[in-house]
Amino acid sequence: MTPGWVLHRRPYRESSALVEVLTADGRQRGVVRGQGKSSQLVAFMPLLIDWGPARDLRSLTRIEPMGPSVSLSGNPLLCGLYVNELCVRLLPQDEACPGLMADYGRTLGALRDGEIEPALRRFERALLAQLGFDFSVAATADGQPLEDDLRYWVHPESGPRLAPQTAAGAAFGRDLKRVQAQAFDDAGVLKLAKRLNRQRLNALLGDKPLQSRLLIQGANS
Amino acid sequence: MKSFSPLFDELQRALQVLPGVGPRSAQRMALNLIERTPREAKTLASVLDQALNEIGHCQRCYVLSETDECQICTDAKRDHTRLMVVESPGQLLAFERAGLHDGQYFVLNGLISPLDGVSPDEVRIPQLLGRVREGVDEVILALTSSVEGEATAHYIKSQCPGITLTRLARGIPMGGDIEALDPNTLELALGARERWS
Ligand SMILES: [Zn+2]
Repeated sequence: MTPGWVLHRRPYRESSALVEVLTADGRQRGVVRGQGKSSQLVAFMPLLIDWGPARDLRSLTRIEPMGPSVSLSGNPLLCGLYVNELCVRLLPQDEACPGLMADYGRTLGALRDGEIEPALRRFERALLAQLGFDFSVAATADGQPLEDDLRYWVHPESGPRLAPQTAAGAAFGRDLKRVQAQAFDDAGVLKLAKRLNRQRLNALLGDKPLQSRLLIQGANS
Repeated sequence: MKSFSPLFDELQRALQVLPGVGPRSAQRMALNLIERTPREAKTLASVLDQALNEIGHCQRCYVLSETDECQICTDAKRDHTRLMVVESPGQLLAFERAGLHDGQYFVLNGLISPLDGVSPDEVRIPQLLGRVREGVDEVILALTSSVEGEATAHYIKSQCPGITLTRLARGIPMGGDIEALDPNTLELALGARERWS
């Protein structure tokens, strides 16, 4: 059986459910038939899956929960939904992503333990890497190492460029290096990482906003 | 198969809008309506038409109602300061049948679900907040125990500072066989255990 995580479940026909799962083989979707079996599948649940024959819509013929779903509530739950929405929106279906499952599991654990922002930034980076969007911000677009005390602009689709030293919104080289190293002990670095990740994610997401992001903003305003 | 009556085909297709009705049972229903109970079928058609025209939503609690305000909202004997929030008219009916709540209700249009694109505005959260602002002592959240129910409860809480919110207990259903319960229900029930002696 294949291990996976439930990302989302929505009712399908009378007593079935359409589920999105994250496995080493990628984001996958299928049908779970039967009220009893489908209703116990919930987001953030680790499980083992047997897939039926490949068709347009495969079914999950056998499922075995590997434990309760990671129990999240309040703001961490909304953040978990954000992680799931990123996966569902950005991961192409059935494209292998061997390392991401472990990142996903670690992220849920951190959300449950209340270590939210650094965990989200790490997951966003892991996802961007999986999507081939993880270029370094520790060197300029033409390969020069950054100077700690100079300021740089970062375009979402290329590396940093030297900025006029009075430019508003340009980041210091030393902060960009810490973002690259994911050294998130400083609130300013964490914020910079959030801004840089968001620019890249937005470039991939296009015009349709993330509903979970709007929800988190609404709940915290 | 050749069609003997296009209207019959259309009726058969239309009946499949009902939950749990596939092509075969739709055919059986259509035959029955036309061949065996044409008089009752006429009544059904006119009641359905009238219901669709005349049933709307109560402007206060959003339960189905033929008047601007429903009987529950206009009942002076009910406690106007305790507001129970449910996610469908069916859930309101379940509480009314059991006769357990003598306060008022607010019926959401489902639950917030970002992955299905369902936002707070679409499930009537702004209307709920307006109702809460009219003055209540307690808001009882009677929502499905699910990720979406939890997200909806948290969002309502974030928008209701200073209001007493309560929610239904979660765990083992009456007569529920512990052996057959899923790990999540077991976890909730164990987490919500109470001192016994
Ligand atoms: Zn009413």
